[in-house]
Amino acid sequence: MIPELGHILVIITFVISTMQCCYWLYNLRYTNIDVVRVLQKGSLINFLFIFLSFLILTYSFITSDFSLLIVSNNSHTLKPLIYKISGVWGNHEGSLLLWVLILSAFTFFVSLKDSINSKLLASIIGVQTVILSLFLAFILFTSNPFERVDELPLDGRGLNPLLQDPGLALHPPMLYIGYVGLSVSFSFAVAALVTGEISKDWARQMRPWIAIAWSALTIGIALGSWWAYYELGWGGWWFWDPVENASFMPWLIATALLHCVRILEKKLIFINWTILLSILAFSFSLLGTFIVRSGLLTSVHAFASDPSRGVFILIILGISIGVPLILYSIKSSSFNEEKGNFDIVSKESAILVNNLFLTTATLTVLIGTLYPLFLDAINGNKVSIGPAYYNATFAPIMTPVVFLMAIAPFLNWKKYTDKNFIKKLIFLSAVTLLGGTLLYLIEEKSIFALISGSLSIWLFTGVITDLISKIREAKVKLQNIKQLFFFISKINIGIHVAHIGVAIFLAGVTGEQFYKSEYNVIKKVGDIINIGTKSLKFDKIENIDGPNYNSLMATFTLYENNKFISKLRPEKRFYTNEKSQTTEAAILSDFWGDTYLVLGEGDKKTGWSLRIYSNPLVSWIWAGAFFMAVGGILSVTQKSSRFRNV
Amino acid sequence: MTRKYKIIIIFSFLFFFSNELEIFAKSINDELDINNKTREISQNIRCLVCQNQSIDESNSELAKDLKILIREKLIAGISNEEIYGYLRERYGDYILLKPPLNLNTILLWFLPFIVLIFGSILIFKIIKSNQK
Repeated sequence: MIPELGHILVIITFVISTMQCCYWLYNLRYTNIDVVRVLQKGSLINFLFIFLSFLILTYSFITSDFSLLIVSNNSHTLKPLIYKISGVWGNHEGSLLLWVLILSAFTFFVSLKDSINSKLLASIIGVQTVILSLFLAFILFTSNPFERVDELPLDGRGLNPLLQDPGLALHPPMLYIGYVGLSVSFSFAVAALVTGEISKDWARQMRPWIAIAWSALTIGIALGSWWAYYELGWGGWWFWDPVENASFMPWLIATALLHCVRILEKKLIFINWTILLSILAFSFSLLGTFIVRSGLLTSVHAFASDPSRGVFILIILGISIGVPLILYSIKSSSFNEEKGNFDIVSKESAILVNNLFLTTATLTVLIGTLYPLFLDAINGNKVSIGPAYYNATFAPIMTPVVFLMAIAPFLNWKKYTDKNFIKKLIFLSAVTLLGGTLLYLIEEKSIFALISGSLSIWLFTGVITDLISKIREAKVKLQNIKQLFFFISKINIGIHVAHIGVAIFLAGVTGEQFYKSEYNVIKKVGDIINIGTKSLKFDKIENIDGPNYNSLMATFTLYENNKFISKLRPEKRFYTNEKSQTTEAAILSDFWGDTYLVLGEGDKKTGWSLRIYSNPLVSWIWAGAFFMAVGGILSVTQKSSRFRNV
Repeated sequence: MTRKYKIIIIFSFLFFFSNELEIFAKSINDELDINNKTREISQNIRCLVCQNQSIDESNSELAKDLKILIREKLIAGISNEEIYGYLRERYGDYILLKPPLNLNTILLWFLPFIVLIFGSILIFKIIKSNQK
């Protein structure tokens, strides 16, 4: 009875949201505050109902109600509680309901923004609600999470063991907040096209939403990468897998948008470009959501695919991307732009160049992801595109982005006035040259290692230099906490934090890509493996029972210079119920890098094959992403328009 | 035995067996070299039965067989290019994770840079036209 209630709630929400769409379109010409009030109430109801229905689904998972198809297919009574809950979105239907829940939440929160002019606000809510209705229809007609089974099974089939991990509890929700959050800027853009209302205020109101979505997306992608790193046991953190690319493309476009919208906050220029980016960012999110679902591309995320839903997916993509783009082609020329009046060396120019490189980088990833598909469709030839392709295309395109990221914040809006600009550049070059030489002397690696490492130093120095000069300009003495906060409120600290994040990230990438070492050995219990100053002693190997798996666990002791460091326990887990196996690498992380140990095949007689990686600075990759996300959130709290030069 | 004798014995030993030692050292070096080369090639070869993995990462039977095959060919002194060519002939372009440049992939390799060049021209024009 309870699951039916959940189903009915989804149906009611579908009806209400569809009515809301009609109401919005009917009143499009005569929008006033009363229309907005009605739409606001609708959004609240939608949000509450979907929330209730999501709670009901979660309840069914917690109580292991196997009369529900997705519960019996994806859960098991023996599963730990946390994985029963995260199992709700560990499958196609449940994850779509989560998607819709987040969408309705965003719709509700943006609808409360009375400070947006009511004509625009009505259309923003309207567009959000159209997307909501489309997805609710998709759920109801093709992917009903509340479908019952004909015959009650004795127990569930369990969840894919790879997904039984704390990483899964967080990775999809964060990613979805990112994906869905971009719907708000999309709706801002479409609403602007529909109403013709665009102003600096439009840009100001929109930017926090982009920043929130962008930060969540950053965290979501980083969590996915971290999870792949420790769970898949290959020692890598990014594989240029189609699904990774699918989440990376909206991120890149959103990054471009986040920068571009700041120009529009100052002056009504590049309106069309900003609108186009807003539409594209969410379009890539939709593409990302559906690439995982459609089974079009082979990837490690193929657990969720079902080609039969393809047609419906195409319809949704067609409406939500096609209609705005058609509108764009009709309406975009009607906006009146101001004249830019900025110097060649100015913040405006720098942001345009940033946008050029970021969109080209997105295009590269898009080509790399979809090319095999198109080639196959055109002449039946099959190609594979691996990391080597992206190293040769994506990396050189992003290099100038990082290069400019260090110096662009020095520039002022409109005018080239900073007399210290050249001085700063010389200082930056000197520090980078010094750092690069040091890097070269420590350990000589390829030229790419040198470029990548030097870029990180370059950026790091750039951000610090900028921060110091901002402190000087602000003319505040930083002697106590109060003054520090006053200063932080005066500059846009989010930019610095996010850019430092990129520098940290790049340092991590340099360490992981160019300075990592790998050892493959076959050892028996009692053997000692020597790696540089470290040594690993193989203590024992034994069978251990987990809650829903049997584990073969080896124990090693790690010594450095004959001093005890830590125990390492790599595992191979056999999930009896799901009949599959996972490798649990033993990872010892510290500030300077990871020791990563994987237990392979073997037996007592011949010994066990072991893979040992030494990954310098690898955790900086995710630390960097974390800083970027924090920077994004901090930038929300700042109203950049209050101060001219920040 | 005094220390002097010990040194003489070691040196004469080294003298008589220096050739053998050299060969032994060389064989270890070769072995490492072959291992590295095998891994390098393996990273660029797709595992055909897996989901988007290279044979280096994969534990499947096919991947193991291919790794052994590559190793044997390297020991036989066959060059990297010839090994790639051999695998490509047998399994098609699909097996190469770094797609070769040919008519099929010309857009793949050049489109990003073409867009970058045209984009640069466009951006330059926009910046110019917005000057005071």
